[in-house]
Amino acid sequence: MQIVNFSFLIFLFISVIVYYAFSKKNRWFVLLVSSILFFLFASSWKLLLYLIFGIITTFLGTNLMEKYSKKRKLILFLTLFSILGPLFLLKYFNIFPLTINAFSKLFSLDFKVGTLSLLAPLGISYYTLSLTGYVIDIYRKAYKPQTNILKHSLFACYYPILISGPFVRYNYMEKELFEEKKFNFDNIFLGFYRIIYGLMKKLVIADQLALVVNTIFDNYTTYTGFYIIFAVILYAIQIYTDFSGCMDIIYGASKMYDIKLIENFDSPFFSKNLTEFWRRWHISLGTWAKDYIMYPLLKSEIFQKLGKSCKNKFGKKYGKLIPTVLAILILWLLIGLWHGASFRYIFAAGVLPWIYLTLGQIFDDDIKKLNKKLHINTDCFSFRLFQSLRTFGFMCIIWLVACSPSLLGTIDVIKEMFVFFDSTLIKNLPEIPVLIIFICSILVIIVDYLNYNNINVFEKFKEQNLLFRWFILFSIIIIILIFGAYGPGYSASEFIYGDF
Amino acid sequence: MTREEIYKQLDEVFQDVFDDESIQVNDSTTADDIEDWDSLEHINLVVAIENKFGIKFNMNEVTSMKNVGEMVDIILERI
Repeated sequence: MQIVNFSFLIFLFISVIVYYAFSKKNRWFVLLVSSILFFLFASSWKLLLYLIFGIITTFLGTNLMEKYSKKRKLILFLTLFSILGPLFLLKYFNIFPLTINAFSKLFSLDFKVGTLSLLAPLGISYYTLSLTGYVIDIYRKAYKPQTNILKHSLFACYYPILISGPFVRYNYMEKELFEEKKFNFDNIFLGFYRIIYGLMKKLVIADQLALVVNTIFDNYTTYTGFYIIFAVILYAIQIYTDFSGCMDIIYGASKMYDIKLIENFDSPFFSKNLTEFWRRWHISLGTWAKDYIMYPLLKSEIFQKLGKSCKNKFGKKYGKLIPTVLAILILWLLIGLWHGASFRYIFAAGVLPWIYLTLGQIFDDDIKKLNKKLHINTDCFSFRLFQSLRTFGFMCIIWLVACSPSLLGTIDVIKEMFVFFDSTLIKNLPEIPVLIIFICSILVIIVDYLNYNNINVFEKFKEQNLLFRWFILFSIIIIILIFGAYGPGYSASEFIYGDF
Repeated sequence: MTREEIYKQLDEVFQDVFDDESIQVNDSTTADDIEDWDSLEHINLVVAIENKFGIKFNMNEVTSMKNVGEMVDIILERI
């Protein structure tokens, strides 16, 4: 079952009714049954076995750690191995044959290794990392493990977040999932608004733009020059409205059960620099990686020793910088790998962000000094606009690599970018409702701008008069029904981040 | 060591880590109050405080401390 689908809305509707029909104490159980049913509709019972295996091993691991305190390290490793093993095998194992084949091609050798093609269960990247964080938290004695296996199961497979996250921490979700909730119409309305807004982003903006972006990138030798630059800019809008639209639907669905999930986006395109961008884009992945990869690395003895020896040799600045740069390299390579077992993703989502952040770390002070020397006013609208556009430009380079057919293929795409373009070809591009997409995009920009200034648009919207609210809501629903990319001739494409 | 004495030493650590001699911290100081206190500097700060006071923060504390006051509570417990 896809969530951009009428049957999903019916599923959600029935599940919410049953949820509130149950006593407050047992409502979480409805969520568990809904989650298993959703998994079976969207995946298959065979793949459910992976999920059950993950649930059982983490349940046993965390409770055994609590019981056999002296052997907690051994239990931690065994539990992590059992949960990360299937993820690695199903999603990332192919990096080995792909590496061998790439080298074989590079040296023109007639040697090729076969790749594994195993079906991965729905949401494996998401539930595995959330469970991994939980197991590590229990090892760190951050809180007590859940002793009820059914409640533990719900944390692992709560269905809205199986689709595209966010990554969640148990101590936060425990309160949200198991606390007794009162029925409140506001939650249903707020959830509904959010779902409609997400559907608009996905069907009217993302999926329509995808038609143009895919046509250009599939035929980049025909659509050369400006078309490629145009496609990358459209892709930036597409990927944001696709992923954040998906999060809006997930957030809205959760809100209907009165479960508040942690936001995954916080107006990223208003960021002043790339560090801020990644604090505002896919927030739960960043937080997860910081808490479970970067901090343990930087606090490890090896990195501490490295820092001290660098400080003695190169001074205070580099004593801090070198271990940091090394830790963020490891971090970003893993994030790149998480996005997909291909060099394209490792480079686009791993190496490039690392290069940007490293250069930022090295030259940050110098740039500040230069701005001061040149008397540039950094505290005005024009400079803020320049900073946001600069951040957007850097991100477009990343997305150019992500859109290219392969890492080596990126070079060909870049070459074609500098080839003269035929303006008459614009007629051959798929027809999309440009004006409507433009209006909807402006709406997204306004909502993001208000959010950037700490104004919750959905709460504000709820305060408006009924007539106004329904007028806006019905207008958006009609726009989705008329201009959304769905139905015959279209197939609502899967969410980009659902594949990761 | 009293809370005030800890703050005196903490000011020195903060000033050194963030290269800013004007920094004075108190119970309610958070990362939002110091411009360069981001996630990367946070860990450098934690390690510098550990070295200064000869204590260790566990990973859970590193990721969950909400303000300097909570940091001082932990330091008082350990020294």
